[in-house]
Amino acid sequence: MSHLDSVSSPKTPDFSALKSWIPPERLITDPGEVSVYECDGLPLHKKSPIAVVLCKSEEEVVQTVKWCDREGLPFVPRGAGTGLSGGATPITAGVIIDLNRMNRIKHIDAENRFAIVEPGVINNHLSDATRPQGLEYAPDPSSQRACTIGGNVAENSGGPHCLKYGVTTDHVLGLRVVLPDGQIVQMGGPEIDQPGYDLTGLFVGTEGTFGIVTEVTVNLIPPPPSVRTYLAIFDSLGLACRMVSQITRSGILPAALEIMDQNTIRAVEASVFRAGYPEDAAAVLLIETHGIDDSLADEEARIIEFAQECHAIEFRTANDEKERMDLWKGRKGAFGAMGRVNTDLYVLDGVVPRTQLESVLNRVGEIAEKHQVTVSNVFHAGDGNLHPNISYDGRDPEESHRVLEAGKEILQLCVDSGGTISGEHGIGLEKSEFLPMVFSDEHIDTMIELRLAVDPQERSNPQKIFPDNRVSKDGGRQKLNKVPQ
Amino acid sequence: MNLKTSHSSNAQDPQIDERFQRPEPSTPSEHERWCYGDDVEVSEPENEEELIDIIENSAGKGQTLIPTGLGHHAYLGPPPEGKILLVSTSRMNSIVQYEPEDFTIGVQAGVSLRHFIQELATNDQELALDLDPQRDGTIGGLVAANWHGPRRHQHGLLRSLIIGLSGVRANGVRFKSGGMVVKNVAGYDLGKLLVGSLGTLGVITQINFKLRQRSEVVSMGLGFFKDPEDAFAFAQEFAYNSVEPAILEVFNPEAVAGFKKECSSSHSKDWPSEWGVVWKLEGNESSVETQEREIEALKKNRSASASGFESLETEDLSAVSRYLTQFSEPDDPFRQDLALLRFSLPARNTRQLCRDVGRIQKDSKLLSEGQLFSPLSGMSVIRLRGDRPALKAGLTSYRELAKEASAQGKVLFVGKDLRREQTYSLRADPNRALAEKIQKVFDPKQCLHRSRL
Ligand SMILES: Cc1cc2nc3c(=O)[nH]c(=O)nc-3n(C[C@H](O)[C@H](O)[C@H](O)COP(=O)(O)OP(=O)(O)OC[C@H]3O[C@@H](n4cnc5c(N)ncnc54)[C@H](O)[C@@H]3O)c2cc1C
Ligand SMILES: Cc1cc2nc3c(=O)[nH]c(=O)nc-3n(C[C@H](O)[C@H](O)[C@H](O)COP(=O)(O)OP(=O)(O)OC[C@H]3O[C@@H](n4cnc5c(N)ncnc54)[C@H](O)[C@@H]3O)c2cc1C
Repeated sequence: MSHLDSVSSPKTPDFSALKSWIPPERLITDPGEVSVYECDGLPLHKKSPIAVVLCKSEEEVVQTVKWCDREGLPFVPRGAGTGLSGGATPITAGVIIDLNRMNRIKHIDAENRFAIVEPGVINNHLSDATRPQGLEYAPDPSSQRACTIGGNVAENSGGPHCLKYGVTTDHVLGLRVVLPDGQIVQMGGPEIDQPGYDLTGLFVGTEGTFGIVTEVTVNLIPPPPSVRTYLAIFDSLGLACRMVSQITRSGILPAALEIMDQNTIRAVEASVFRAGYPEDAAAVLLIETHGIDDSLADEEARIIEFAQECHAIEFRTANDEKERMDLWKGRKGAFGAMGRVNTDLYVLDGVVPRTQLESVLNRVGEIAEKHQVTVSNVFHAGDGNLHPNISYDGRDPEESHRVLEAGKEILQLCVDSGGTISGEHGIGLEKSEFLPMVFSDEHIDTMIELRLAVDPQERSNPQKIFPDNRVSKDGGRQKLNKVPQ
Repeated sequence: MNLKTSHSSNAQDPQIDERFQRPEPSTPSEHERWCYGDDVEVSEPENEEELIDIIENSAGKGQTLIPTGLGHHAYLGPPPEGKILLVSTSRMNSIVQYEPEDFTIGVQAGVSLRHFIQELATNDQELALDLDPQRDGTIGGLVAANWHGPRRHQHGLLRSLIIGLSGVRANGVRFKSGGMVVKNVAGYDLGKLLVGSLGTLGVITQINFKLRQRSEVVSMGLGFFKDPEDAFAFAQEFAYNSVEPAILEVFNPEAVAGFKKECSSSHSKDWPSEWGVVWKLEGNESSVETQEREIEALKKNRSASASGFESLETEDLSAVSRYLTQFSEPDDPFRQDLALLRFSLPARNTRQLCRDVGRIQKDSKLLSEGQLFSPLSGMSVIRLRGDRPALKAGLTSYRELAKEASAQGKVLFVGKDLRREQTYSLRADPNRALAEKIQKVFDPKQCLHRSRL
């Protein structure tokens, strides 16, 4: 039984008020059609919403949120639905507020290096639009061709190049948010020394539990003067990890340090994302450095030394942009390629201190063996952000159970090694029960109370992040399951 | 060639200013009494349990609780009325976990800046701020005051250096976010909320940071210009090529005069008292050299409008760096005739702000003790001297300017007599209602000095 099934069924809402302003093609209530929205990129939990409202403007968002409030319905903001922790998966009686149509880039201020965008803008459309003006939006999740800036903000997404440039929160200057009661607030802005608390910083990463982001002011940066890309090939995953530790320890800060293990390499090479990685290699490490060319030359010499010390069996250098794109092709397509391994994929997202990569990955291998699951690792090694990916057949309940057990054990391992249970995909539904691995009851209470201060009725994306059984001291949390009867 | 090694944290002992020392345990310093009045008690818990006891025992005693480090910045924001209990972290001062190979550190809030800097220096590491190894103060105070110096453009603000933070709310309940890894989205990012909260949400007890390797070399240069327009034109060219200065500031003649006094090279005595541009490059040898070559080209383009360019001698390098970082601080916090304002606006609007600041200054009875404009980060700090009426009128004008120019900012310092009537932020917080809801979570019984921010 999915943990969504425990929630009681809703009354039938009165759609007439909604229908008075929303065109019929932007309100979906047909059970067959709403089922398209039953999950995000995490197929482990599924639940159809009762309705999907495709909003085109902030005003429509406000009206929808207010309607939900009047009807006593919870709502779930949704971008592209590429999330991997069940964040955009609806709960019973949930209304999906889809933001994909709010996709205007409203303003680009090239001189001051910022842009103002609607939440439905697709991540890489933003850089496409700013590049002619010599600027880019740095956070680059591997899903950047599909995922939205609103989703990135809600998850505080990372990406391969976030090692050097920082994650989403480091690039969000301001937000407009429709709070769960329909009020609009504008926080932050292009001036960095804002009055009061850093509410922008607090809101980023709240996974849709604080309301709906309707506008984002983001920082833009110029592209690096020079880029160098390398591929180090190893006959042991441990040695690839060791090279990452060597680079980190040396104080060199590459733009990206990405590892793929043998299972991933083989999946990639068998797919349309084929990048020419040697299939018998145990691991490849993709290294990219950005900066002033002379300084990159110095770093290159040291990186080659580290590769030798770590017994890389081959070291490739991209000599031009085409070769660079080729080296990246496999990494960018890795998740897609894994789709071929089995019907379903469970993407884990733990983090460990960078010096622990080797020992943790050894243990991950042991856990996979114990539970007889197939794990492929492709991950942001430079920040210790692991993605053990478990391929499985979701139609097989016994296998699904083993996958969940292995996943839980791997995340516990990350925590025991000094790390955490999510580096970029969020807690969502997937890991809400695991939050106590990293926070005590008191710590969770504080977060829940904050959530209740912003959203006393828990309308906005309920049942995400926090474990179901937490009851805060003032009892406020007991409202959690009180979705309409 | 002006390459210098940067490792100057070694430091002589700081000069001890007795006015900041608490004469005996649990007794406020002279400076704390000056800021808060005589009805002040100090408690200095040794650990979180003692801290929670103190917080719980203070309930119902009608005291305002003020989380404090060493109290050097007790002048920030309007002071509270009535009885005060300073809850100091000065004895919670251990380095909890330092992982040099992971470039992370976790420290208790009461760790002193000196101890912190020295510890990191043993591994050639640093927190990417402009911390002064010679000053007193705690890491908790640093975080709660959200201090940033001129390197902010290259390295970012404190908010992006914190990877974990924990503390105790004013109802005695613990809070925590993040951890000891550099990437973490588990739970809400309370670190961001607490940075700059000035003790209005609770007591921060531990902060974890990510660190960086100290740069192999640094180099600093100066340019002098009669006309501020030329100074800004030169500075703004830095933005249009691959030079990535860690510091780039334009300053007025009073500021030039100020740092000339601090410099000891014979060379520095001849610097003209004009508008100046200072830049600092950091990195490995080749990156600094490459950037210096590019700057040479920029200088050539501007040679007609500049009075001269200088490379800083080793002995002046730390003096100028220190002058720049200390610029946003009163030389003497007991002064009544000083106001310090920080403006923040989109970077390219800095030039216009400089013009407006000059105009207001001219129309007022205030004297300039220096102005510093950062055309890359959009931060500017101005130091004003005057008597009470002149400062009061000046502050009103500058607040209006902030509104007109769509700038934000802070009153970093104002003499005690004016403090009660001056809010910390130059402009009102548009999200006050939401902020109050958040404060209520952290301080349900309103024990803290909530209006400080
Ligand atoms: C192949 C693949 C690769 C990926 N690679 C990465 C990666 O490298 N790094 C990374 O961090 N993630 C990665 N992800 C995960 C995912 O793409 C990100 O989490 C992304 O930010 C989700 O964006 P979305 O628009 O799809 O959001 P959705 O999945 O629609 O929603 C995600 C969460 O955000 C909330 N939300 C969406 N829009 C709003 C809004 N406007 N206001 C408030 N809340 C909102 C939702 O309620 C939900 O909780 C990957 C996913 C896939 C499938
Ligand atoms: C205007 C200004 C100028 C500065 N200039 C420099 C400089 O030139 N060079 C440099 O290296 N550093 C500078 N700093 C940073 C300074 O060194 C740190 O702020 C310092 O460590 C303060 O320590 P303290 O213990 O004296 O702080 P305090 O004066 O004790 O506290 C400062 C503020 O933080 C709050 N606070 C303190 N501790 C806590 C806690 N644990 N939890 C919650 N709230 C707390 C207090 O209530 C107060 O509002 C400056 C800071 C400011 C604000």
